[in-house]
Amino acid sequence: MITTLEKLKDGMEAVVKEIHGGHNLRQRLGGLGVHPQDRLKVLRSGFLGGPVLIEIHGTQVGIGHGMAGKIEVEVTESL
Amino acid sequence: MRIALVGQPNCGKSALFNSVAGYKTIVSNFPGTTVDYVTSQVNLNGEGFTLVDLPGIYSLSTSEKEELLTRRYLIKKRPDLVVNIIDASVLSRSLELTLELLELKIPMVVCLNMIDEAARKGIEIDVEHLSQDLGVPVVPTIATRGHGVPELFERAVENAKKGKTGSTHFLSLDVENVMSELVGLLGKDLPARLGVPGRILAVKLLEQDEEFEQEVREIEPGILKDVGRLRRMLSECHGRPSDVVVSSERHSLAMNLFEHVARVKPRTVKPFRDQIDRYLMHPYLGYLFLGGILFCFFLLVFSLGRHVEEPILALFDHFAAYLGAHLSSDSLVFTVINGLIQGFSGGIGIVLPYLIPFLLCLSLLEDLGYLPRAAFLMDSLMHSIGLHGKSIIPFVLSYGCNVPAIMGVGIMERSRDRFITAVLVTLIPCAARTTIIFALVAFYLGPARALILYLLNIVVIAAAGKVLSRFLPDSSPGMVLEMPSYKIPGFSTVVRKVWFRLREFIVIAWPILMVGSVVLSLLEYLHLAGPINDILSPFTNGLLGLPREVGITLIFGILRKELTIIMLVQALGTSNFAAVMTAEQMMVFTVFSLFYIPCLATLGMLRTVIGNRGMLFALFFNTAIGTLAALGFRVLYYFS
Repeated sequence: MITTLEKLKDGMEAVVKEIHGGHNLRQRLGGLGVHPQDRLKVLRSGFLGGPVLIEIHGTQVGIGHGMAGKIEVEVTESL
Repeated sequence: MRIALVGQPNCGKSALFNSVAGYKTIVSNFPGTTVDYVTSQVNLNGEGFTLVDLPGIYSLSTSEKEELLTRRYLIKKRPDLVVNIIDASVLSRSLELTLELLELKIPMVVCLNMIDEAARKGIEIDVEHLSQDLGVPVVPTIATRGHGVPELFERAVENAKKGKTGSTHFLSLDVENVMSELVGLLGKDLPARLGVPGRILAVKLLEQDEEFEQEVREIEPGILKDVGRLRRMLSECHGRPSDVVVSSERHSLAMNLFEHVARVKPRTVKPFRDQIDRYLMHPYLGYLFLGGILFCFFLLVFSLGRHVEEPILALFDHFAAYLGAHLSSDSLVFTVINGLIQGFSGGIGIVLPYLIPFLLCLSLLEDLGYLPRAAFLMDSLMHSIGLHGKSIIPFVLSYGCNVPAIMGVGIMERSRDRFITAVLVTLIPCAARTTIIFALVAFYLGPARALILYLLNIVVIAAAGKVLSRFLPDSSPGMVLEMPSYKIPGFSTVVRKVWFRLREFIVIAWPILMVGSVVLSLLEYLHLAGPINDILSPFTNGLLGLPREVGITLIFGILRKELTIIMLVQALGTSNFAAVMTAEQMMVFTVFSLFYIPCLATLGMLRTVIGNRGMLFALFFNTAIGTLAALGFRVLYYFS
């Protein structure tokens, strides 16, 4: 299933497909280790317009709701 | 010899800097102006060198202002040696920056910090292997405890003398081909004129770096056509924008390197942080804990502070009275000395009771790793006024005293966020302004009116936030924040951090407070209250409809807000304000005092954090808001 990051539920695992935001967003996410093809796990979903907390490469990263909406992911495992 | 410390945010860079730079060093810090990094003269084994602590940077491809500063320093000023600090527990991600730093061809040493944390995470790193792969020495350390630090700097000095740079790691063949074509087109002259190595310039241009593109455009705009062609070539081959192609390549290089040198053992125990975060980051409970933590923080700092402040101020008043008795209280000498004492005691009254506990608590929260979590929780709310989650902390603390709140603005990375938060925070009624609200509005007009003032204040701040963020649009695409693991703060790191922030107040804000209070005592000495009231009367009396006598009280309010009420008693000759002021006048006076020029200590602190121009801006901005709000109430009273 292909969707965007902010729609994932707690505990879901996914692979980053595409980052749709502009150059700045790509750079920022790249710096924190979020690139296409990377696997991530949602620790706290972005409910009520809040940010999303993910685990990626052994670190935890909080991503604002709007930005998460620009990250296209493919769900690999849903609980 | 200049040694630059470079690392990703949260890698323990400052802990390392502090453990070496110690107390005996000359630390210079010029925040908010042109230089925003800290340098320190360090003497190690009889050898002196300059240590430069650069802002944390995730990658050399960045458009963040603070990170660009680090990049510019590295590329244009070329230090003699780079110490690349890596958080060993997030090695795979950190290696991306390391690969970029190697391309600078500056002698380098890698500091594999937090090696204990990595071991706890089950990451085993073959240090020897990593050192071979990178072509530079790698030293494991635990900077907070000073482990491995002497060896690190021994190797650093040794390597700087040898001038040994690391190995270049090549990207895949087609990317390298495009890159060497660009390096050829750039030639030798252009990179030399820009002071950037050719390969780095080529990489950054392919990564669509705005700053380098601009620099190239100014000198040789023609070449950008070729750059565009090569970018298209890359993105057509890979089906992705060229910057993603390059960064993904670097990413996979780093991942390969990581797999080559590290082994990750699966963890059997659930990590400690996950257990805590189940509560602290819970979608509902998390806010409860955040509220509780901020409330305790507030209570601890300000209830404790009040009990200490009063006796201290009483002591100094006593001293001033004693001097007055011996020095004839109407002499010029006494006036000046009294002013100095007032300013000095005002400083003591802020530093000892409020700043020290505040800074201790803040540093603890910061070093524990709670601040990013608070920021995460508050992100959507603060977003609505154009800020990010972290600014909640200065906001809450500002209800106690604006000075530490402005100091706390330093926890934000972007200068734009620091500026807006610092200005907004001065609009919040601190404990001293609360006394004005209570003495005039709550006492004479009822608590409901006082509550309305607090609510109005929040609305005004939100509106001011909207206005400021319209003029200073948020260039960042939103919050992307690393949640570090919880750490037990090192005692000496906390103490040094407190001292470091405290000296900013002592050196910059305190003198302003002292000079200001001498000026005010001179005003009194020269009997200038009358003329000042006359000068201000078109504003105070004409525009705001207040008694003429209040002019001087507003001037004294700039020294310390609580003086407004004390001076009002003196100026009006009674403490029964209802007898000499109408309800409208009391309301208008309180509203204006709530917003107008911040007190001297706050102004001094603003100057340290956002510079002279920022301070002047806040001064006019707040006064304008105060005038508008006061006029608003006049109109309201006129119609009711």
